[in-house]
Amino acid sequence: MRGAGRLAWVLTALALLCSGCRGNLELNELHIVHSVGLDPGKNGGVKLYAEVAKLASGQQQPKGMQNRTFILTSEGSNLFEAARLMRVKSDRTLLWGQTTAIVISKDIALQGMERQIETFRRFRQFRNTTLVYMVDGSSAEVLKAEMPNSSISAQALRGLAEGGESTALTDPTSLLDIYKDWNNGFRDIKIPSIKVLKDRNGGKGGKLLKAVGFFAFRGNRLAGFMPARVSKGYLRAADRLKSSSEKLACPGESGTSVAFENTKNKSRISVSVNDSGIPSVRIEVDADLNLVGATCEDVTVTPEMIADWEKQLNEEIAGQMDDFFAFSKRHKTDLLGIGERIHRKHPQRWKQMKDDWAEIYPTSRFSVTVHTRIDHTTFTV
Amino acid sequence: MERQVTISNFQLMSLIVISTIGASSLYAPAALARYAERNSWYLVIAGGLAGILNMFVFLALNRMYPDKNLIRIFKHVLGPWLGGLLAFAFVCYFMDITAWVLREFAHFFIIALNPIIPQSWYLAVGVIMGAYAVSRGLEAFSRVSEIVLFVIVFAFLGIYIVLISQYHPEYLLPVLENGWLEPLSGIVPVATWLGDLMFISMMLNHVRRTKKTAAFAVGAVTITTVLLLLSVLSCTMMFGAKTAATFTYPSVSLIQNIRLFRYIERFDAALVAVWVMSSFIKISVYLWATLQGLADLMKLEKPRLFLVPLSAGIYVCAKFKIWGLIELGTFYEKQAWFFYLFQFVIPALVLSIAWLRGDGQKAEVGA
Amino acid sequence: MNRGQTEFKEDLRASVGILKELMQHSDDLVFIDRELASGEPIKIAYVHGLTDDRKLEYLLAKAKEFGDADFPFGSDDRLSTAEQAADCLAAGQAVLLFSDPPGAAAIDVLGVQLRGVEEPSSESTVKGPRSGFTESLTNNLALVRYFCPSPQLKVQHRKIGRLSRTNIAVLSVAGVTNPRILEELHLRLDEITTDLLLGSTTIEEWIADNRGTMFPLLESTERPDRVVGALMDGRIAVMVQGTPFVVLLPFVFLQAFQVGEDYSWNYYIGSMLRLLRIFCGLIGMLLPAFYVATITFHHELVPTALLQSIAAAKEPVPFPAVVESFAMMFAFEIMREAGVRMPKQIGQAVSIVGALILGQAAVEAGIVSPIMVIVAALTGICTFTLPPTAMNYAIRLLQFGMTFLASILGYVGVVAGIVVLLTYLASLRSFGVPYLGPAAPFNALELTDVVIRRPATWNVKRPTLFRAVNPYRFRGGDK
Repeated sequence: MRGAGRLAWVLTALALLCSGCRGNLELNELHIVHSVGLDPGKNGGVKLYAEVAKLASGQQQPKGMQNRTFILTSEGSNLFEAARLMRVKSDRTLLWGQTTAIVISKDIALQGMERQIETFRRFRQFRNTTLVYMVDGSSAEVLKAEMPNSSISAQALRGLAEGGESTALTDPTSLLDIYKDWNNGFRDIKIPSIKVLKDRNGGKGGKLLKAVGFFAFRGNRLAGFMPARVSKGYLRAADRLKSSSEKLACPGESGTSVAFENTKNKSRISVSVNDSGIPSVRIEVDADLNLVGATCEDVTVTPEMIADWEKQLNEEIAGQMDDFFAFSKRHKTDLLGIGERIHRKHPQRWKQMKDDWAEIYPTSRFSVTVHTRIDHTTFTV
Repeated sequence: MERQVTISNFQLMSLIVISTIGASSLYAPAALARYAERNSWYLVIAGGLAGILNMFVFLALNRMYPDKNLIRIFKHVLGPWLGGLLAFAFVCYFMDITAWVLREFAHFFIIALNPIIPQSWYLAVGVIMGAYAVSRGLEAFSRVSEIVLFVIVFAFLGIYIVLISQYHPEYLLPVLENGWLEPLSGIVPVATWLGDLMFISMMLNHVRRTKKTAAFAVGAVTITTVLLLLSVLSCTMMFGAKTAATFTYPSVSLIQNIRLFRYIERFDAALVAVWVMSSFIKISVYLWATLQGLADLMKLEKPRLFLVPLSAGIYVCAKFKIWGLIELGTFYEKQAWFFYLFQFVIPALVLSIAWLRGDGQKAEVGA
Repeated sequence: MNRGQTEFKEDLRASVGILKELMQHSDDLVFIDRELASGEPIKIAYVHGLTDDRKLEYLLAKAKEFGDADFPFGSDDRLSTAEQAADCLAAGQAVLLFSDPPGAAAIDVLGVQLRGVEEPSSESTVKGPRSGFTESLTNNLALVRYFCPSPQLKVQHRKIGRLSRTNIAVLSVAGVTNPRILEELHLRLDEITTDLLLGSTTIEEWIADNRGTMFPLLESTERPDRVVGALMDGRIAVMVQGTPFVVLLPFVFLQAFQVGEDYSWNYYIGSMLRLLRIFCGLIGMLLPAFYVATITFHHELVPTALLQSIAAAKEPVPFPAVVESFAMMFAFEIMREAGVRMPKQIGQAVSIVGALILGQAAVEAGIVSPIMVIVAALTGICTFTLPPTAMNYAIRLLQFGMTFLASILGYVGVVAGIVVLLTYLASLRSFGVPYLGPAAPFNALELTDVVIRRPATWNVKRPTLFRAVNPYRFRGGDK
């Protein structure tokens, strides 16, 4: 009996071997896609760009992420079809699972983001943590840009997103974030924007990328573009600001300014609804700053000066956030998730307000209290 | 008569935990979120209580008839005809469950990993593993289940703990906003997942019974409930209830969010190991129960010979049972009463009949 | 074959003739005439070369002084059949033939040139005793007794092998060893029907529970301190004359990762080293499979930069990853086997050639990728950390199986293989003890001393692993 059992094993193994191994993909048969670009195509379809790294073989030292890249294009009625059709132009199977960044053209968003978000989710290969960007123009330009030290633009895009930690002008947004916000309905989605800068010298040198600001959405539709100051206000209000730089004008003169580095920021949001159904939002901000440059004339750093600066900074920061509130009310985008906060705190009232929320939100009242503290002056008095 | 096969309390506990948690923790958050949204945790706790109740039915049956498994109890209590009919139905039920488990096993890989490998290969691997384990005997795979228990528990706990920094507890609020009873509309599917422990009805007579057996059994259900609770909580806190409901396997998406050292992601592989091991135990357990039931029903001398045909039959059954995963999910939810019938209702009925008959008043806890 | 029961004759010359017949008229059989004090003539027979000259001279001198009354041999020393006398002669004892009454007695005068006690080459330690067993059974027994001078140490002699009549000794400790295992062992020893017993491996094969498995169910050692440690754990030792390797039974899987030296170090170090060995065992079995599965099926797991580098390195290689993997593992096995038998002089040259050919040149020629070389080398080195038991070889064989499974089904295949392997191991028993030892069935207390090393001061309870409650008779493991 044991011999028969062994024979069965061997036969099974042979059967499996002879039927051929399916589902495996040797690395020699793959193109690894690093970033993806999405543009609107003809007849409501999409145009897909995939950035693939060239492999420099035959050398002793593999180059890792320093290889040159090439771009593949294809068109289709939806993302999946376009991705499949790209195989027609590619001599190898495309590996989508390593995609680091997706760049979407604004024109696609004008058609309605719902379709795209849904397709991204169903495209099983993309990682949850794939970064998303939006560009005003063609996404192919972004993919073709070459930053110094990273010829693969996916690396550049990732690095730029992480730069938001020090500038507070952008924030890494992943596919999962977008899908979560859109699906749960907790808040409106935002996508960081990216711009391609033309080379100053006008030559064919590498173009640079710049990541500043966000595109805000109202539900499914594109609401507007948030420039630098509004973005900073938004990130501060949402408690996602890690570090930034602030400046105050020098007293009296124009053109010179006092510079501060914002090292810590914490904001708390509390909402309440008054009897007539108007939400009021209170935001309290605590910020720590360091003085890093005081190039004004006749300025000595004294505690009174510091107190004065703190007051001015309070107003400056509050001003940034007010700009943001005005933007969000004007475009009716609930980026802070105020609706959901009301839901959590007053579930019964929320049931009544839920359906008209789009109209109720612009009537909300925002009030900001800022407490700044200047920590170090890095100067001897 | 071959040497009496015995398993220890701890092995019983690991078998129960693995068979109930292995499958359900993967897709439970999605299914539960459909019924209870943010309050899935409440549903899980309720389900846990139902599971303990289910467990007690079997413990009581075993206390009354310490050396009989379920099939023999049917024949004893209800007589040869009715009992035999019911026993036959149960053997078919066991076969059915094995086929369901096998199909689930294959589906997970097709969906989460790689749709190119044909489904029949996964089915073949599953059934070969199960048949091999049954051929080595209950003791062998019970011992393996002890090891697998540790792997599974540590893997799950590790996943949930690593993700702590990414949780948003406020996603759980507001708590029970629609009242106590509304989430309980989903109690039957949850109870059936936990009720998958009913295979112990065929096994309890092989356990080396001590005073602590009941404690171990209840402890097993508790561990399952806790792990399920953690899974549901993590998914809700990470994704929000509605989003979790849209995933097929929310736990897989959970793992995909783990990011170590900035570059290492997509730990699906860890889940593959956990899933294969727990499905292996579940398939083996139900296959063993089927074989044992068949042997007792038809008084077979050499049940071993039936193993290969039975496995082949289950393979065929699993392959052609349903067309796709949607049907599987729908069946589990809409026709959950089918499972519940066999897991709880009929054994409870038999228990009450046996109790009314006056059996088991002075039964001793034998070996 | 029935051994005869030939009696001694009154006529000494007839007895001598019988003995010569039984000893095949061997030329090294010597007979000497002596007379007892009473005048009775006796013959002393011995095998020339097997005897110690001084003992023999002493015996020959003393022979004159023996009277029949004060015969210094008790009735137990008397031999009743000529076959017994032949056995004793062949074993190196001197046989005295008497005529009145006819009979014989045997005296031990064994003195054969053997190796001295030296450090065992296969199990060297840094800190610990350096004695190793030799080929002499009596010497080995003496060494064990020296390391453990306890009256509870029980020694039982047996002779195995129809033609070779090899002496073996079974050692156990009364009160600690499970008597049923001892009984079982003796029953199995009774069943041995072989002509020749040379070395301990034959015994291992005969008494193992399950002969068809590639996993070792017994272990052997050359060190007396290990034998004593094992005896105190409740295990049994079988010594065979003519080999320094002593068989220890029962043996469970996790013991393949234990080395005697762990007890010579501090328990932190000992525990770390043991855990390292277990980890290396796992790596040795699974690393190539894991690599093949990742590269072929699960590309998303690898960080992008690494995947890019691996892809670039694999560009010129025409073979699929699994073929590369098998080729490298094979090459490694070939080198290892060659290394065992290489004369020391060319050892250096061959290892350089091996490294050059298999490493550098193969990569440059585009036959294998550099990552594969690293994986194969790392795997090989990991298996070297394990003590050189048969388990080592079993693990290396399993590598191939796992890689094959990985190439068909990816991680699913690997895990399925692991699970099937675990089931198989769980169903093995070594003399009734479950092969997966304290891991399954789970016994937390004992597991701590197997996986990590408990401090000696915490060892309050005797391990119960080897005192299994249900050992049983028939072979082939339980089903």
